[in-house]
Amino acid sequence: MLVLTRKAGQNITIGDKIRVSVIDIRGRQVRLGVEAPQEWPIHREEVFLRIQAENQAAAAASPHDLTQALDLVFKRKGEDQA
Amino acid sequence: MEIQTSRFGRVNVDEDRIITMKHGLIGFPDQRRFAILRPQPESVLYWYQSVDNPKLAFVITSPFIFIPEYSIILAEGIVAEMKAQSRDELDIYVLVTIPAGHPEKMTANLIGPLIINQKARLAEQLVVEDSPYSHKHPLLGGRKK
Repeated sequence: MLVLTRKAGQNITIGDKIRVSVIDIRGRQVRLGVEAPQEWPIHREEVFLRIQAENQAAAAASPHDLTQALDLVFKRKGEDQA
Repeated sequence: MEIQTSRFGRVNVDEDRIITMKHGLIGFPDQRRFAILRPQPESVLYWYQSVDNPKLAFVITSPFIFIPEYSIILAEGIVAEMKAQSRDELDIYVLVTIPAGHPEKMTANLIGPLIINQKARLAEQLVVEDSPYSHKHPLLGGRKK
Protein backbone atom coordinates (compact mmCIF):
# COMPACT_ATOMS: atom_id res chain seq x y z
CA MET A 1 0.00 0.00 0.00
CA LEU A 2 1.29 3.44 -0.86
CA VAL A 3 0.84 5.78 2.10
CA LEU A 4 0.75 9.51 1.46
CA THR A 5 0.11 12.34 3.87
CA ARG A 6 -2.19 15.11 2.64
CA LYS A 7 -3.70 18.26 4.06
CA ALA A 8 -7.23 19.44 3.44
CA GLY A 9 -7.39 20.84 -0.08
CA GLN A 10 -4.74 18.50 -1.47
CA ASN A 11 -5.25 15.69 -3.98
CA ILE A 12 -3.93 12.35 -5.10
CA THR A 13 -4.07 11.14 -8.69
CA ILE A 14 -4.23 7.52 -9.74
CA GLY A 15 -3.40 6.95 -13.40
CA ASP A 16 -4.75 9.77 -15.46
CA LYS A 17 -8.44 9.21 -14.82
CA ILE A 18 -8.78 9.04 -11.07
CA ARG A 19 -8.41 11.78 -8.51
CA VAL A 20 -8.93 11.61 -4.77
CA SER A 21 -9.35 14.97 -3.03
CA VAL A 22 -9.16 15.66 0.68
CA ILE A 23 -12.01 18.14 0.94
CA ASP A 24 -11.88 18.87 4.61
CA ILE A 25 -11.02 17.37 7.95
CA ARG A 26 -13.27 17.86 10.96
CA GLY A 27 -12.18 16.20 14.14
CA ARG A 28 -11.94 12.50 13.40
CA GLN A 29 -13.69 12.63 10.05
CA VAL A 30 -12.14 13.32 6.72
CA ARG A 31 -14.30 14.14 3.74
CA LEU A 32 -12.92 12.73 0.51
CA GLY A 33 -13.98 13.48 -3.03
CA VAL A 34 -13.33 10.88 -5.71
CA GLU A 35 -13.40 11.57 -9.42
CA ALA A 36 -13.29 8.52 -11.63
CA PRO A 37 -14.85 7.24 -14.84
CA GLN A 38 -18.54 6.59 -14.29
CA GLU A 39 -18.27 2.85 -14.77
CA TRP A 40 -15.85 2.44 -11.89
CA PRO A 41 -18.00 1.74 -8.83
CA ILE A 42 -16.95 3.66 -5.74
CA HIS A 43 -18.23 2.67 -2.32
CA ARG A 44 -17.58 2.86 1.37
CA GLU A 45 -15.64 -0.33 1.96
CA GLU A 46 -17.70 -1.71 4.84
CA VAL A 47 -20.91 -1.43 2.80
CA PHE A 48 -19.30 -3.10 -0.19
CA LEU A 49 -17.94 -5.94 1.99
CA ARG A 50 -21.31 -6.42 3.65
CA ILE A 51 -22.98 -6.88 0.29
CA GLN A 52 -20.23 -9.16 -0.92
CA ALA A 53 -20.59 -11.37 2.16
CA GLU A 54 -24.35 -11.42 1.81
CA ASN A 55 -24.03 -12.43 -1.84
CA GLN A 56 -21.84 -15.33 -0.76
CA ALA A 57 -24.40 -16.41 1.82
CA ALA A 58 -27.21 -16.14 -0.70
CA ALA A 59 -25.33 -18.33 -3.19
CA ALA A 60 -25.50 -21.27 -0.80
CA ALA A 61 -29.22 -21.88 -1.27
CA SER A 62 -30.52 -25.19 -2.57
CA PRO A 63 -33.80 -26.00 -4.37
CA HIS A 64 -34.99 -27.58 -1.12
CA ASP A 65 -34.37 -24.29 0.71
CA LEU A 66 -36.40 -22.43 -1.89
CA THR A 67 -39.29 -24.91 -1.72
CA GLN A 68 -39.43 -24.68 2.07
CA ALA A 69 -39.25 -20.91 1.92
CA LEU A 70 -42.01 -20.74 -0.67
CA ASP A 71 -44.26 -22.95 1.45
CA LEU A 72 -43.79 -20.57 4.37
CA VAL A 73 -44.49 -17.53 2.23
CA PHE A 74 -47.77 -18.98 0.99
CA LYS A 75 -48.69 -20.06 4.47
CA ARG A 76 -48.11 -16.55 5.82
CA LYS A 77 -50.06 -14.96 2.97
CA GLY A 78 -52.88 -17.36 3.76
CA GLU A 79 -52.82 -16.33 7.40
CA ASP A 80 -52.75 -12.64 6.48
CA GLN A 81 -55.86 -13.07 4.40
CA ALA A 82 -57.69 -15.19 6.96
CA MET B 1 -29.65 -22.96 -25.60
CA GLU B 2 -28.88 -25.56 -22.99
CA ILE B 3 -27.07 -24.52 -19.86
CA GLN B 4 -25.59 -26.74 -17.19
CA THR B 5 -26.72 -26.21 -13.64
CA SER B 6 -25.66 -28.07 -10.53
CA ARG B 7 -29.11 -27.78 -8.96
CA PHE B 8 -31.31 -28.65 -11.92
CA GLY B 9 -29.06 -30.46 -14.35
CA ARG B 10 -29.35 -29.29 -17.95
CA VAL B 11 -31.83 -26.50 -18.47
CA ASN B 12 -33.11 -25.03 -21.69
CA VAL B 13 -32.94 -21.26 -21.79
CA ASP B 14 -33.90 -18.99 -24.66
CA GLU B 15 -30.86 -17.06 -25.87
CA ASP B 16 -32.94 -13.91 -25.70
CA ARG B 17 -33.56 -14.43 -22.00
CA ILE B 18 -29.89 -14.39 -21.07
CA ILE B 19 -29.01 -11.34 -19.00
CA THR B 20 -25.59 -9.72 -19.14
CA MET B 21 -23.99 -7.96 -16.22
CA LYS B 22 -21.10 -5.71 -17.22
CA HIS B 23 -19.52 -5.84 -13.78
CA GLY B 24 -20.88 -9.21 -12.64
CA LEU B 25 -22.20 -9.40 -9.11
CA ILE B 26 -20.38 -7.90 -6.16
CA GLY B 27 -17.85 -10.50 -5.11
CA PHE B 28 -18.35 -12.35 -8.41
CA PRO B 29 -17.07 -9.85 -10.96
CA ASP B 30 -16.25 -12.49 -13.59
CA GLN B 31 -19.71 -14.04 -13.68
CA ARG B 32 -21.44 -11.97 -16.29
CA ARG B 33 -24.25 -14.03 -17.77
CA PHE B 34 -27.33 -15.10 -15.91
CA ALA B 35 -30.79 -16.44 -16.57
CA ILE B 36 -33.88 -16.18 -14.40
CA LEU B 37 -35.41 -19.57 -13.75
CA ARG B 38 -38.91 -19.81 -12.39
CA PRO B 39 -39.49 -23.03 -10.43
CA GLN B 40 -43.28 -22.77 -10.53
CA PRO B 41 -45.53 -20.35 -12.39
CA GLU B 42 -47.04 -18.97 -9.16
CA SER B 43 -43.74 -18.76 -7.32
CA VAL B 44 -42.57 -15.44 -5.89
CA LEU B 45 -39.03 -16.74 -5.50
CA TYR B 46 -36.90 -17.25 -8.58
CA TRP B 47 -33.43 -18.53 -9.33
CA TYR B 48 -30.85 -16.20 -10.78
CA GLN B 49 -28.65 -18.82 -12.38
CA SER B 50 -25.18 -18.22 -13.77
CA VAL B 51 -24.99 -19.39 -17.35
CA ASP B 52 -21.26 -20.03 -17.22
CA ASN B 53 -20.85 -21.41 -13.70
CA PRO B 54 -23.25 -24.31 -13.09
CA LYS B 55 -22.88 -24.13 -9.32
CA LEU B 56 -23.62 -20.43 -8.96
CA ALA B 57 -27.22 -19.44 -8.45
CA PHE B 58 -29.09 -17.05 -6.21
CA VAL B 59 -32.65 -16.90 -5.01
CA ILE B 60 -34.17 -13.56 -5.95
CA THR B 61 -37.53 -11.97 -5.41
CA SER B 62 -39.34 -8.75 -6.03
CA PRO B 63 -38.95 -6.81 -2.77
CA PHE B 64 -42.32 -5.07 -3.15
CA ILE B 65 -44.15 -8.33 -2.54
CA PHE B 66 -42.83 -8.32 1.00
CA ILE B 67 -42.10 -4.64 1.56
CA PRO B 68 -44.59 -2.59 -0.45
CA GLU B 69 -43.03 0.67 0.71
CA TYR B 70 -39.51 -0.32 -0.38
CA SER B 71 -37.95 2.32 -2.56
CA ILE B 72 -34.49 3.21 -3.69
CA ILE B 73 -33.12 6.24 -5.44
CA LEU B 74 -31.83 5.40 -8.88
CA ALA B 75 -29.23 7.83 -10.10
CA GLU B 76 -29.89 9.25 -13.57
CA GLY B 77 -26.75 7.56 -14.79
CA ILE B 78 -28.18 4.12 -14.07
CA VAL B 79 -31.08 4.54 -16.47
CA ALA B 80 -28.71 5.42 -19.30
CA GLU B 81 -26.15 2.80 -18.34
CA MET B 82 -28.84 0.13 -18.46
CA LYS B 83 -29.90 1.38 -21.90
CA ALA B 84 -33.39 2.15 -20.66
CA GLN B 85 -35.58 5.04 -21.75
CA SER B 86 -36.87 5.63 -18.26
CA ARG B 87 -36.87 4.25 -14.74
CA ASP B 88 -40.07 2.38 -15.55
CA GLU B 89 -38.18 0.00 -17.81
CA LEU B 90 -36.06 -1.21 -14.91
CA ASP B 91 -37.11 -4.06 -12.66
CA ILE B 92 -35.84 -4.25 -9.12
CA TYR B 93 -35.08 -7.58 -7.53
CA VAL B 94 -33.26 -8.43 -4.35
CA LEU B 95 -31.11 -11.41 -3.45
CA VAL B 96 -32.57 -13.65 -0.79
CA THR B 97 -30.58 -15.58 1.79
CA ILE B 98 -32.27 -18.70 3.10
CA PRO B 99 -30.32 -20.23 6.01
CA ALA B 100 -30.21 -23.99 5.44
CA GLY B 101 -32.88 -25.70 7.49
CA HIS B 102 -34.35 -22.38 8.63
CA PRO B 103 -36.53 -20.95 5.90
CA GLU B 104 -38.36 -18.89 8.53
CA LYS B 105 -35.18 -16.87 8.91
CA MET B 106 -34.92 -15.91 5.26
CA THR B 107 -33.70 -12.40 4.61
CA ALA B 108 -33.31 -10.10 1.64
CA ASN B 109 -30.42 -7.81 0.88
CA LEU B 110 -32.14 -4.47 0.50
CA ILE B 111 -28.94 -2.47 0.07
CA GLY B 112 -27.63 -4.51 -2.82
CA PRO B 113 -30.58 -4.67 -5.20
CA LEU B 114 -30.40 -6.21 -8.63
CA ILE B 115 -31.54 -3.79 -11.30
CA ILE B 116 -32.66 -5.55 -14.46
CA ASN B 117 -33.63 -4.19 -17.84
CA GLN B 118 -35.39 -7.27 -19.21
CA LYS B 119 -35.86 -5.75 -22.66
CA ALA B 120 -32.18 -4.96 -23.13
CA ARG B 121 -31.16 -8.05 -21.15
CA LEU B 122 -28.85 -6.04 -18.92
CA ALA B 123 -28.49 -6.10 -15.17
CA GLU B 124 -26.41 -4.52 -12.45
CA GLN B 125 -26.17 -4.96 -8.72
CA LEU B 126 -26.30 -1.58 -7.03
CA VAL B 127 -24.82 -0.60 -3.71
CA VAL B 128 -27.34 1.63 -1.98
CA GLU B 129 -25.70 4.14 0.33
CA ASP B 130 -27.52 5.91 3.15
CA SER B 131 -30.37 3.48 3.30
CA PRO B 132 -32.77 2.88 6.16
CA TYR B 133 -32.78 -0.78 5.08
CA SER B 134 -30.33 -3.54 5.82
CA HIS B 135 -28.53 -6.28 3.98
CA LYS B 136 -30.39 -8.81 6.12
CA HIS B 137 -34.00 -7.73 6.12
CA PRO B 138 -36.23 -10.54 7.42
CA LEU B 139 -38.94 -11.33 4.91
CA LEU B 140 -41.17 -13.38 7.16
CA GLY B 141 -42.57 -12.01 10.36
CA GLY B 142 -40.07 -9.18 10.52
CA ARG B 143 -42.59 -6.57 9.54
CA LYS B 144 -43.78 -5.80 13.03
CA LYS B 145 -40.42 -4.32 14.19
